[in-house]
Amino acid sequence: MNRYHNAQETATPRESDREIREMTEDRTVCNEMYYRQIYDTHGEALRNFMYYRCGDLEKAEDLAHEAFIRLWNNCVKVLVEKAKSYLFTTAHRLFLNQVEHEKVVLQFEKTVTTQLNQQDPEFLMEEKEFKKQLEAAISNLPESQREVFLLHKIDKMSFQEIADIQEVSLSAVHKKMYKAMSKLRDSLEALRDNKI
Amino acid sequence: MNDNREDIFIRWLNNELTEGELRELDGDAEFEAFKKINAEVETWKLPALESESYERLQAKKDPGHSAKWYQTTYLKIAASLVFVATLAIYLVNLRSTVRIETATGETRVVMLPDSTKITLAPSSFITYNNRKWVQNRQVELEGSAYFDVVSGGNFEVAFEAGTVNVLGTEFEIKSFGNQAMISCYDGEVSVNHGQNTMNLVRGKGLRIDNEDSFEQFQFENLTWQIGYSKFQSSPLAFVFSSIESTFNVTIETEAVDENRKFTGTHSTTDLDEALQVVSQVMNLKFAKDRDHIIFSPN
Repeated sequence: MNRYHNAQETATPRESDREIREMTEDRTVCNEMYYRQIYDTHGEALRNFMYYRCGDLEKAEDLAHEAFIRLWNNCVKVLVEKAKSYLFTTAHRLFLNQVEHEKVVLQFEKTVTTQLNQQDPEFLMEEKEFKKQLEAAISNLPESQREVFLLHKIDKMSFQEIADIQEVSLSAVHKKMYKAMSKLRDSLEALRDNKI
Repeated sequence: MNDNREDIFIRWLNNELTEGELRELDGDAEFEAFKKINAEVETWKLPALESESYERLQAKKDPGHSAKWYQTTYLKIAASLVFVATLAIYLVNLRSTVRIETATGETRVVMLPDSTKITLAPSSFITYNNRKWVQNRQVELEGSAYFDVVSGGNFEVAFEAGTVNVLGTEFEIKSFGNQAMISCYDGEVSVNHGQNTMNLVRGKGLRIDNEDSFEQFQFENLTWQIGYSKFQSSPLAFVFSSIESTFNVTIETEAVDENRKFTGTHSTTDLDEALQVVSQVMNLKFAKDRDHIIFSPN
């Protein structure tokens, strides 16, 4: 009688422990399927984010992978909903630890080809030239302004999302965006003035 | 003022401006420039991640932290267990297969698990399975040995030229390659040689010279002696083979009929004594150069 009683006492907490573990396991990143989904959803944006910093797509992918590996190694501690912010802050800090900051030269692809009725060679030249100038101007922006600008324009992130990644306030992000845009305008204008 | 411009700019980017505010911005030099930049950048993109990108990530992931860690760990454990088990079986078999060898000039008495006594002549070896001995009394022999077998069950000695099944008890086998000589000192043994089976009783022997040729013989001196090898009308060729094998030497003959029969006993520990006995009995002389001996007529 006594023996059974004891057995039950030890069995009950063990059973509930298992249930809790299963519940949390379901919601953490430690599930290969979730992990894959997270990669499909955020992998490219993270790679882009790293590209804005290092200007090298291959290196950017490696850095993104590094963040994803850290996510996996800490998967028990990260819930699926928190995975994105974990990835970006990790990537952000990963780069902070790297001492050398090379000068970046960013290049982008065009999503829309020029419309047929605008195939005027002079216009095409101008458009190409403008793209080049803008790319150069963006590359010359201070790092954090460049990031805000590109994460918002290319990756269509909201300013709040960017504020979370950079771990700054929303108004600071607004300021950076405005500064970035003003500087781009200034440098483009300077280029044009120089030519004239 | 700057704060105001920034606020309008952010709201413009967020598409939060009213139509009135938008109209006010028309013709504003700064905003026209912004619009141009905005329009250009909106058409930009970066190359999509390649589909192999995820596989590359998987490859980089520390296997120790892989989702399938439990599988790989279990597999490793299973593989280790299989390996250990195989090794154990191998070692047990290795250990249970006993090989006993005698060097040149060495004679050894081997007691098998059932108290069967084997006296191993020089330059000979036997192997048998120690673990399965009780079920399977089987010995392989190369060289010469004298067997005193404890009765009970089958007892088999395999050598290159045949096998001997013991029906009861004391016998000697000399086995050199495809030649062999079996002498029964007590009881009865049954010899298998190719298709033939012969029973040998006390005082009878069988000499196998090659695959098709064998001869029964009789002998009288029924005491088997350690350190001596006994021959009863054995061809010289057989005696020489026995000496070659026992002492690890090579014997050549010049103008000697190797079919002549030798009856006698020679030492298995003293080569010179053995050579002298044979040459005296057969009226031969021998020349010895280290391991090489040449017999010729006296």
